[in-house]
Amino acid sequence: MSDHQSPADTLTIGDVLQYFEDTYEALQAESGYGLGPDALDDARRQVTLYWHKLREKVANRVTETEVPLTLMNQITPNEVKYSIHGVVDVVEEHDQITLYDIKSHNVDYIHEERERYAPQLEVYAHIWSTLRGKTVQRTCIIATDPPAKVKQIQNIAQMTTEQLKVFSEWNPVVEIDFQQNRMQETIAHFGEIIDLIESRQFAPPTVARLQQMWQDRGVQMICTKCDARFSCDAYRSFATSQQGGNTARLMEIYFDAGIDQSEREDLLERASENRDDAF
Amino acid sequence: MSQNITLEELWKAYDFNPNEAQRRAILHSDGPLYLPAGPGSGKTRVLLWRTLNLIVFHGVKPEEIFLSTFTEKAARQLREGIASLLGDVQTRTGRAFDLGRMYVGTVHSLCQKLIRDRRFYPPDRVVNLPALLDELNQHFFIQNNWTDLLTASGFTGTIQEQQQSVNQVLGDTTVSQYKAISNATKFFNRCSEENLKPALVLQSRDNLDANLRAMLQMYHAYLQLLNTKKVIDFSSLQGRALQILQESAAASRAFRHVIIDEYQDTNPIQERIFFELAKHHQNICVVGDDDQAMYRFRGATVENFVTFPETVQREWHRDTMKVPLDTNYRSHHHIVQLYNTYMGDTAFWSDQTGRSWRVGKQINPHNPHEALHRSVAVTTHGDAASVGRELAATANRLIATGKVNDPNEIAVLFPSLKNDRTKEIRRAFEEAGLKVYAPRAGRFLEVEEARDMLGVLMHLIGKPEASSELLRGDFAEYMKWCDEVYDRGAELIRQDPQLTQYMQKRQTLIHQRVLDRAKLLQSLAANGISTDDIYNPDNALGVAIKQALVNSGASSDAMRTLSGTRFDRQMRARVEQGRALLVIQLVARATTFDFGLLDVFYQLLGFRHFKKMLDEAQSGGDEGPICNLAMVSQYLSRFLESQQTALLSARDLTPGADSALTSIGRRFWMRYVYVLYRNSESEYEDEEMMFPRGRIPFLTVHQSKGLEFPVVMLANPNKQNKLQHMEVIMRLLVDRLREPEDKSPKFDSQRLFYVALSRAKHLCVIGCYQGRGLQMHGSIKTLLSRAPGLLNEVMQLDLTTMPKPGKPDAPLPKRYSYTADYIRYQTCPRQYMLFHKYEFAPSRTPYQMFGSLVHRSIDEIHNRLIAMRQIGE
Repeated sequence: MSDHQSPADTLTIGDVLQYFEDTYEALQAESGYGLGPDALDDARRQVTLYWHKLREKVANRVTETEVPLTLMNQITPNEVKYSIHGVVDVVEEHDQITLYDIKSHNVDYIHEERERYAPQLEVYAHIWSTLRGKTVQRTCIIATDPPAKVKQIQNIAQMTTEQLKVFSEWNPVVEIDFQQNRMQETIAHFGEIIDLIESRQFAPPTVARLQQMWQDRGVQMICTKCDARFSCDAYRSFATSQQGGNTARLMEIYFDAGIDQSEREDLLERASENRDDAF
Repeated sequence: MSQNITLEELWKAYDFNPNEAQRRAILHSDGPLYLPAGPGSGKTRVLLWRTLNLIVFHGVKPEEIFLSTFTEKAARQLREGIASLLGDVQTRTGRAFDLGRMYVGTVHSLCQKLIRDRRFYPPDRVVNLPALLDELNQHFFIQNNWTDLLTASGFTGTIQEQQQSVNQVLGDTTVSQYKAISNATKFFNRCSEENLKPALVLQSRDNLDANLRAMLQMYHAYLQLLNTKKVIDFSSLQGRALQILQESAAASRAFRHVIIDEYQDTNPIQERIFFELAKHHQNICVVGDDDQAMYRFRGATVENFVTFPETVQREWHRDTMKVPLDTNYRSHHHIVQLYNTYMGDTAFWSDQTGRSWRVGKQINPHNPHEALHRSVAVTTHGDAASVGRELAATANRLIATGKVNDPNEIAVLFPSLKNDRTKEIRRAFEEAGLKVYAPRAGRFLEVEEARDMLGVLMHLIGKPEASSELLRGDFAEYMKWCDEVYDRGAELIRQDPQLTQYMQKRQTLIHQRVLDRAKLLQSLAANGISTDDIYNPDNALGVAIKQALVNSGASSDAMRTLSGTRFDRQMRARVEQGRALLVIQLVARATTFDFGLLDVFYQLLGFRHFKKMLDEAQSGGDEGPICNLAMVSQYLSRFLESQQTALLSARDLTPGADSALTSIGRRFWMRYVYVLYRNSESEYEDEEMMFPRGRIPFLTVHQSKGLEFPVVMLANPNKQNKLQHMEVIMRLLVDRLREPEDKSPKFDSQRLFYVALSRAKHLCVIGCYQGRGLQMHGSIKTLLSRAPGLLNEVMQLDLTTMPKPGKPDAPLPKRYSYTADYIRYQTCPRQYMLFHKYEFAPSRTPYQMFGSLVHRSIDEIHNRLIAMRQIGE
């Protein structure tokens, strides 16, 4: 590689930005939804920082991307046949295999919660080994949401010494230890969950669980953004109990839009763009 | 070749004992193969094992197989079936197979895949994909460009006259713009499917009449428009795929095996695509049944199938191996005898030259000596009410005696669900205490849940009114629908005090903001500011504007949006970027609500009437209502896509001068819902149809395609069919081998009823009509007179000998995703149910979109790098 250019050298940041815009356009067309300018900037920054940071270390070494993984012939306790699916990126070098899962989460968060993500990568590694007959040596999560200090770097091409330090200390690759013995447990649990889905058990978490989730900001992340909260018994009880069981609060729930100021601004900004009005 | 296992051993393990024809079809691996497959002949199994044989025993890689099916559901079943068989092979032999890049799907989805497959482009070319327009969006696309298209056509006269001309070409006498647009759409799509080149046709056929020439010119302009706007519709998508195949040498070598299911329902351009795909290896296998061809109205040409060996001969100068699959494993032998008799008249299927338009096969029942129960019955000849009563009584008897596991095992079939006969039969069933499930019977907008939800919404955004001189035809019918829905909404609001309170509060808020808007506009006008002025916070005009707004007396809620440092920063940024806002846009920002139509939809789900539908579903109960509500959410979401924002503004909700109808109401009811109301007349089947427990499905024959039921009732054996206008036109424009004009419609009716009869396993009942205006199709009358020995009077039918119902077939293994299913379910089962299982459309951008964008962009970088490295090597 040393005396001729690596492909990563011929790909420019302009190309990367172009892929980003194309992808966004395609996603928008597919889903009918869009992101506000702030969110879009944020996503663009994650992609370009990934490029700057991991161009050689990961991007240029990926041997297979979007590899579909299927674990076939599974059966649940209720005897439902099913298969497990996932997608990963793979680096295979000198028989050394690394699986990468890209998550647009904050790197510190992934570090804290690495136990939570381990089972997923264990299952993926297991599927890969079964399918390809080769053992996986490493599994990693690439957390593309950088720490605040890295976000503040305006111009990657001209970093101050201080910024250079911050940038080089930042490591978005979180290595996840995997234990194959735990994998069977995960798969068994997967089967139990499928049984619940197949028997159409869709009750929301209990109020007690929501109260617990409130402590971890789970309710704020999940419920208050959920369109189904108005018709959800658990959320309704939870929200009224927060107000000391005041049932008049129930009516207030309907008028609490659940959008914060910045999201609202995003929506307004998007609204101000001129677009074809189809109807 | 695998050393460790043989196909025979696998068959044994799966308890599969193929008959001779099936065996030949499965083992065939070289050259063109023609599989005419009768109903219930196990063709899916044959396809499954044939594919397995190719992969495991002939070293064909999964990605070297192109397997096309008619529906996504069939594709999924095949993919999962193959996956699970291969999984088993893997466990037994240790050999692994990667199905991830295999081409399995509908022709349309595979064309999309082809178009984005990098292998088929020069490596340095950036693949820019056009956005795909679905049926509804295609309609709106054409509507938005309508005047340009008319101009390009060269039609003369007023717009009305031009529209009339468009309609005339397709045999329609109205001036209706809606009709003209939908006729033009149909014409365009059909031209694309016939692979018609407008410029060439115009040049080579100078005897065409002026209107038809104009239509071709319009089509030409339409194709250019698709190009410039970077969009593509489902029909021209196929043309694009064909073009790629023709231009790329890699593409025609990529697939060692091309396998096409339901070949009788393919169209001319698809035939071209398949032959192009198979050009190099010439391993093409087509499976189908000309007797079950039913999609001519969508451009399908059964001729593709009937003349397949001839086409192979013409294209590649070689013979085709023909293996008819004619053993029926589904129906009781009396039923098989019934439909053999029905199709058996060879003279009928021949044209004047002596060519037969039927491949021709005698179906043999797998078990000709099966228990002697009577499996074919007829009702007493009568009117719809009496036929309905007898059918309903029979259904009740079947349920009471346990001859079906559930009412949903009795299918009641009709050529069309939208007529009076169907309504009367439905009434008879309901009077007999039976619940009916009629997906898409008539319009979706007539479904109870849709009416209820839209009815309540109408009380917020206003009800359309029309002066009486406009009330004609379909429009009058639509306005009547609006009236009814409005009244229903009022009733629901009245019945629930909570909902009443909610509506009042919403209306108060709306009123407040509408007043604010008036005040802001007034104050601006009073200060001599135009709504078209540009706002720059840093100039004198900007200051004046801000002043006028602040002093307008509008509520503090409205003013909040226009203050704050963030606002100023944004406005300065806009000025710098040359995107400064107009005063009118400022007003809009100040008076935008924090809710939109979908928010209101989800809020309404919280009230008793709707909430109980969700509660029922979340504990495993009736799914009908929740499916319908999900569909309402999707329709609302599609409307919102075309709007400026997901949020409503005071401008949207300002009532008109002389009615309560708001501007959003006008766009919603008079354009969007109206088109939906009229568009939904098409007879498209919903392939993911579910048959809720406890209800008797009322289906069109089209909807029953590919399914089987223990009991089938052909409730209305009547269909008047004539050669469609489109057919006549295409015969003028494109030369190809086609069924004779006079017989084609008769063939089609006969095929339709054949499909209906052959769905039945244990019992098939035919409704018989007699009396004024109570026709039956001639072919059915003939059948009844030819097969007297088979027929039994349904009211006298002895059910005791009918076999006990079997267990419903074990479904194929289902695919579950680690992140999208397992993790999401654990986050919240209810959220998973609504947004994943039933696919409710969220009111805002789903949080997953951000992650998908980052992830897919990075994958794109990886893809490019891998491709560049490959060239480098």
